[in-house]
Amino acid sequence: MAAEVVNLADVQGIVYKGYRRHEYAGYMFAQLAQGEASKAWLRSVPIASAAHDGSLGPKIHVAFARNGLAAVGVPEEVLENLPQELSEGMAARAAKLGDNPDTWALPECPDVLLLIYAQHPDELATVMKQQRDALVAAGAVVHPDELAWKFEEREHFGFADGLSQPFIAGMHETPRGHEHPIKTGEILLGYENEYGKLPASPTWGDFDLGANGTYLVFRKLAQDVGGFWQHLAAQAQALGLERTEGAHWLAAKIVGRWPSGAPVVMTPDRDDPELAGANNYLYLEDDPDGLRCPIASHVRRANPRDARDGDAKTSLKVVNRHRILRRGRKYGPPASIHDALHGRASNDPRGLYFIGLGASIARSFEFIQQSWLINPGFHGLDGESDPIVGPGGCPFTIPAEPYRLRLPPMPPIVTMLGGGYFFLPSLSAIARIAPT
Amino acid sequence: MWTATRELSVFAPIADRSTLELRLAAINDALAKDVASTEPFAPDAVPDVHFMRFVIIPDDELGDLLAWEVNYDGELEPWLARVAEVPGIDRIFECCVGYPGTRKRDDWMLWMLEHRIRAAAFYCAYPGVPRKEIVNDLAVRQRLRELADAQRPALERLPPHEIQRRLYEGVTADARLQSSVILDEDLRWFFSRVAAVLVGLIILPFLLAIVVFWWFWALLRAERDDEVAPPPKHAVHTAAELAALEDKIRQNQLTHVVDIKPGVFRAFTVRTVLYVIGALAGVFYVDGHLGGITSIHFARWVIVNDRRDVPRSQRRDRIVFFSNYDGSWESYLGEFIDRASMGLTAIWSNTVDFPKTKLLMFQGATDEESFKQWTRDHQLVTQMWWSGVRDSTVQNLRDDIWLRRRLAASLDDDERALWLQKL
Repeated sequence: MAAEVVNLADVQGIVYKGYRRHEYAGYMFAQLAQGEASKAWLRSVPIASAAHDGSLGPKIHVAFARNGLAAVGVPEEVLENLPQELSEGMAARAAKLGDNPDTWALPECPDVLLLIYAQHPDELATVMKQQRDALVAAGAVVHPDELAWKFEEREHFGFADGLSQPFIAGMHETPRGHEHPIKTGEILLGYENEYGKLPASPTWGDFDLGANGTYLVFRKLAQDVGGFWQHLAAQAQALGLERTEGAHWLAAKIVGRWPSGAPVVMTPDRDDPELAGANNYLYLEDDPDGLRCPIASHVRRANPRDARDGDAKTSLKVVNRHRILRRGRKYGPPASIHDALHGRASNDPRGLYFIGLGASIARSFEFIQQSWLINPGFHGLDGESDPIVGPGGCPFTIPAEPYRLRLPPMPPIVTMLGGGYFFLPSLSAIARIAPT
Repeated sequence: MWTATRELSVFAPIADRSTLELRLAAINDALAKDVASTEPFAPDAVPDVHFMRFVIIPDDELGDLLAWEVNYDGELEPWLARVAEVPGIDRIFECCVGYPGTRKRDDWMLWMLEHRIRAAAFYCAYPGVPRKEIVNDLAVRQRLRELADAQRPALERLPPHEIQRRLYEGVTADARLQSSVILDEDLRWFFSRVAAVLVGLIILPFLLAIVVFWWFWALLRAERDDEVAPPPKHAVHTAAELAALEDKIRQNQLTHVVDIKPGVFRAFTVRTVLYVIGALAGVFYVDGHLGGITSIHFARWVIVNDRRDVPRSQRRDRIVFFSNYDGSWESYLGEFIDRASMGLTAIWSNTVDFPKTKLLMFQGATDEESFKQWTRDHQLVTQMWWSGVRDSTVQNLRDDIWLRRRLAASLDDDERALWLQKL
């Protein structure tokens, strides 16, 4: 079956692109009033599609939790066809995800999430205010704005981010260097997926409400940048390494990439800016035992590539059934690695708004989180969760000669502050929900 | 010394379901919360057990059954004799029809054996490794780790054989730990495999010649007429009760019960397929994977025949599947589909509502969402489940065993390097 061409004008723009030129982003959660007023509000939102219109103006996207769809009049028999994880919501899946309900700070069950992108902070503020006013006028209760920091391709711990993304055959013409091709149906409903099947999709009578839509995971993750680097500096010293250089080496082993983004598989001992962002590497041939990139490292867990099994081909096939498109942004002012190492990182809250898109949350985000990232038995490991997003308190094994080095239990450095599971409908689905 | 790892499944008609449910819930709750139970029965008091469950198989037409699934070491009857001494076992089985009680020991033994159904196919990830060895090897591994961590600055400068010697001495300083060399029983598998291949070569052609024409003709007709469940409109839905039981420890359990499609053809086919898979599991799948699935500790398929006096076409024979596996349900089902879909389809294509199949073993389980929904639809709530290795995956246990068996052995350079890497 030839790859279908996606009608980009029907898909919300955020699926297609990360808006790197729209450097400012804000997120807005609200509880909607039931009925007509909310429908009228939805009709009024100028939702950005993925079609290239050349406009550099603000881009607005709308995603719904189950209750939000009910509020805008989607009938119960349609909602019953939503995936179970969406009906339950992210908070109910805490045990699966390793989340601690006590650290939840965002609103617990928001009906709707707006994702807004702009080129200038003033413009963002204006659009956020307009949208807030429109929601309030429609009887909604709007939660405090969540504002991202100016876009940078570096996350707060100091590492280049967003380097490995799936490439969706039906949407883009040629993969960029950091993209791996996967079937359109892994990311968008209405297309064939990696099993060669059409994913189940909520239907409304004869209308496929899911087609050209997808599901969105939002998580606010606080990062303890000072804690991360100082812990590693102390560990480096305990191992008899030079403090700064040792901390960098340990951090690279833990992340699986150097701060520039250079993969440790390709350059195990020092950062190499020439390899910044390189993504054309595999594990099985160069590093089956993790002597370069530890099995327990964050990037190797999040995307095991060809090393999930002894057999590269099967592994790549299987791994491609658990991919996610990431559209996250960071919040809070950055702190440099240098300041963090010297205890001078400011106490401002900082972290990541994790945003992931996929046609099945259970099979993409939840699977990656539960079965790869936080799984203490991942790939033969024993009692080691992910060193970055795991709950902390786990040792970290660095394969080495003559035998492995094992870092003592690491403190938790990322704290989940809440979020939710949302349906990101197509523009035609929005027109069906709120017809003019 | 070879101690067989065995399976026991007892199926008994239930006389008093509500009392039974209460008692099993009390045991399971106490296990889950790690508190003292109001019931005298404690699963860890039963000797030499790897995994154990009690599950009620409800059925209005056939009557409710209590199923007891155990994976244990040794010979059945001597082991059962020890089980009879375990406090509280009567409190469970006395809710079943005709249970004689442990005080009438001979009757009790007879009753258990009468209600036993041998698995049609049984898989174990570490056959011949008794629970005592697993517990010992886990402790040895932990001790090895502590020593390797604490003494790394000194050890890393030494030649590999000297590191191994120091670690060996450190372990043997603890008299509770067994470190004697046990070589892997590779030869056992070698001879069984040769025998299996010979039997297969001699017998199979005859069987095939007799059966093949009738069978294909029947298969094509059966698949044409198959009724299958409609494809789900939604991604997989799970009963909240099932999901609530999962992801508590490093393993999960699955109890799955489904009717075999009526008629002689399916009855014959499913038994043949299970026989072949059971034979493969006993001889070839002995090193930690079942057709490529590496996360199963123990699994079995048991055929529970319908003993009612009804015409053949109305009989409801069932396949009961018990599994004890690592990780999440989602990842387990993913492994099923990704690695073993042909084998699984060959079994379950003979059961009702299974997704559409082709030539017995194709399609079926590869229809991801339909297969997952079908699995959830026929999955049962397991009232009591106990794991003897809560914190270890199959891979962890196999590594423990591998390390301990070589601890005192003289290894060549390559193997010693591997041994050190696995610490």
